[in-house]
Amino acid sequence: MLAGVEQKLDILAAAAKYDAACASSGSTRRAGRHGLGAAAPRGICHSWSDDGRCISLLKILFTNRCIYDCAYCANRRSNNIPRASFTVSEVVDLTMAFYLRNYIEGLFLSSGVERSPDYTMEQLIAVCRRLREERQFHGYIHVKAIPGASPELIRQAGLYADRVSVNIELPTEESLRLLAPQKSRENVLTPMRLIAESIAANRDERRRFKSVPRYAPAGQSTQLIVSASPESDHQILRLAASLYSHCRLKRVYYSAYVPVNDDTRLPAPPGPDLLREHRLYQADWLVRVYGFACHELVDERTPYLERTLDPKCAWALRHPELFPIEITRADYETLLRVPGIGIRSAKRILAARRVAPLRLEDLANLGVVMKRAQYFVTCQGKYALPASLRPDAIRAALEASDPARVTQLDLFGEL
Amino acid sequence: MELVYDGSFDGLLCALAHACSCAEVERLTSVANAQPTLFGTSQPVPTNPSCAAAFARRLRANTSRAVLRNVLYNFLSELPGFEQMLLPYVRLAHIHGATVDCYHTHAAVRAVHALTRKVGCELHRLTGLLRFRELKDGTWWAPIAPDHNVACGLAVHFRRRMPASTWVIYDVRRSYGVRWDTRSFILVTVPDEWRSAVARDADAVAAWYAESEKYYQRLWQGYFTSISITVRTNPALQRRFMPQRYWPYLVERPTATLHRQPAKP
Ligand code: SF4
Repeated sequence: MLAGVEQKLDILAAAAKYDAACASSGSTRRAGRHGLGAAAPRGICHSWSDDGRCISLLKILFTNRCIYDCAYCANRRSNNIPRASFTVSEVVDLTMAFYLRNYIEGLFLSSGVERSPDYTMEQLIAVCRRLREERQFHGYIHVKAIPGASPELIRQAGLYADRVSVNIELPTEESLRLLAPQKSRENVLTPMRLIAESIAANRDERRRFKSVPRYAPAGQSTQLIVSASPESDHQILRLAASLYSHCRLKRVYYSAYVPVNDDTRLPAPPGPDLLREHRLYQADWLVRVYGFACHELVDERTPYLERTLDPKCAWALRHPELFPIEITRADYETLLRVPGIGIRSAKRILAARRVAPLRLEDLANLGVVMKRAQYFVTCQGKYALPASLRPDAIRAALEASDPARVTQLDLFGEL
Repeated sequence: MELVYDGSFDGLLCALAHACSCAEVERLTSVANAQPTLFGTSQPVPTNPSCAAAFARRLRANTSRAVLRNVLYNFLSELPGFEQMLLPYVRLAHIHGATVDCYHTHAAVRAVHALTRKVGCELHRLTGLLRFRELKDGTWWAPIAPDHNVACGLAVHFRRRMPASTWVIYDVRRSYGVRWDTRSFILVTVPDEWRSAVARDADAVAAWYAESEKYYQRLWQGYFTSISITVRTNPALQRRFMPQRYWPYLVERPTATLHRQPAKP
C-alpha cells in the first residue's frame, strides 16, 4: 500500500520521538528581503506535547526502513511494523508549510538506514540543499549523520545544516557490540571527530576570510540511552565530559530507556527511569555551565548520583570544609557552587553588592532559594539559621524540599 | 500631586518628564484609571510627541537601553497602577544612571524588573505559540489574545522571519492588528463580525482560509499526537510550560491524546 503524506507523517514522527534533542538555539541566520526564516540564538519552543517535552523542530525520520537490527530500536529490521519513506520534496514541502504557519523553528531530520549509509545520507543532504538553495529557507536545520556514511557526505551535511549530530546511544563498546551489532564505536566516533574537525577548520578559515560560509554554526550534539545497559552514572558522565572537551560537543542528551521490543538482551523496567535521567541532566548542567569537574560529582568509589538529592546539594554536603560561604565577598564561581544560587541570582548578588551593602534579608529578594542556601551561606558574618545544624539534619531537610520530589518529577523539559 | 496622562506611551513619557523635574508629583495615572480625588490635586499633562521623544533620547543617553526598555515593557504590561513603581524607578535612574539596574534590593527596581520579565516572557512565548493561517488572498492571519500588549513586539520579530510575505497579527482582546505588507507596518482593524467571531473561536473565519489550510492543520494535529511518548505523559508539566489560556488560538489540541480512543486494528 502506498501511504499518503498524512500516514507517512504519523509513522515517521512516531518513529523519531525517542530522540531527545529539540534545541533550536545557538545559531543566527537571517533571511534577506526575499528569503524565509531566521534562527534565533536563544531558541524558541513552539509547543509542548502531552509528555511535557518541548516541540521546537519538525522531528521526523526520512525513512523507518532499516537494514540494521539494533536491539533497543523500534525500527530494527526484525520488527514487523508499518514502514514508510518520505520523498525529498515531501519533506521540503512539509517543512516550508509548517514553518510559514509558525508551527516549528525548523527541521530535525534523522533516518533509518535504507539500502546503505551513503544512499541514506545523500537523501538527507538533498533535503537540506533543496531547502536552503531552492526555497531560500533560513530556519534551523538539525541533521543526523548516518554512522558509516562516507566522510565527504558528512562534511557536506554541515554546509547546509545548523547542527549535525551522531547518536552514541550506548556508552561503552561492549554494550554497543551486544545491542547494536552492526554499529561499532569507530563508526560513531569517526563522523563525530570529522564534524569537530570541520567546525574547527571552518572557524580558522573564517578568521582569515570573512566571506566563508559558516559550517554547522550550532555545533554538534549526541544522545545516550540511559538504563538500557549496565553502565554507571560515572561512566556516562565521564564520557559526556570528554565529548564536551575533546569533540567540543554543544550538548549531550540523555534519554531514559523505554522498552519497545521484547528482547532478552535488554532489561524490562516497569517504566522509564525518569528520575535517573533527570539527575544526569542536572549533573551535566553543572559540568557544562557551572564549572564542576565530572569527578567532583561521581567517581569510582561513588559511581552513582544520589537519587534523593540534586547533585549540587549532594556535593556540598560531602564538602562541609568549604562552607559556609560569605556572600558579601565570594566570587562568581564560588557563588555558583552554593545550593540555591543559580546564574541569575549570582549575577544579581554581584551587581547589588557593588552599589549597596547586602543584608541577609535581601538574599531572597535577589532570587536566592533560601530553603537550600540557608545552610551554606553567611552574610556579613551572620548565619540564616540560629545554630549550625548537624549534617544529617541538613540532609533530611534538603531531601524533603528537593524539587524533583516535591513536584513529582515534573521538572523535565530542557530549557 | 497626581499627574493624569492620556494613556498613550508618548503621554506616559511626557508625564515622566514632568515628574522628574517636579518633586511634588507623587502619582501618575492614565485617564482611564483616574479616580476623582477628594483631597490632593490632580493635573492633566498634555501629550506632546516631540517632548516625549526628547525625554526618551535623554533617558537613553543618561542611562542605558535597558532602562528605556523597562519603561516601554512596563507600559505594555497594561497592569493598572504600574506607574507607581515606574516613577520611583525612573527618578532613581536619574540619580544613578545605568547602575540603577544594579539596585536589586530596591523595591521599585525589583518590581519594574519583574514586570519587564513578565512582559518579555509572554512576548518570547508567543513568538513560538502564535499560529498563522493562510487566507484565500495569500495573507497569513494570526489571531492572539495576550495578557499584555505585545502585538507590535511580535510584529518586529516576524518581520525578520517572514519579510517577503504579507501577514496580520491580530490582537483579539485589544481589537487591533499589525499588518506587514513586505515593506512597512500598518495598524489595522477588522470588520465587527470577524472580531466577535474570532473572539469566540480562532477558526470561526475558516470560510476565508486558503484551500490547503485545513489540510496542513490536520497534518500538524496528527504530528502533535504522534510525537508524544505515551509512557511519559505529563499534562501538568505541559500546562506549566504552555498555560491553558494560550490554547484557544493554537492549532494543535493539547491533552487530546489522553482522551483518544485506541486505534482500530
Ligand atoms: S540503525 Fe539501529 S537505531 Fe537506527 S533506525 Fe536502524 S535499527 Fe534503529
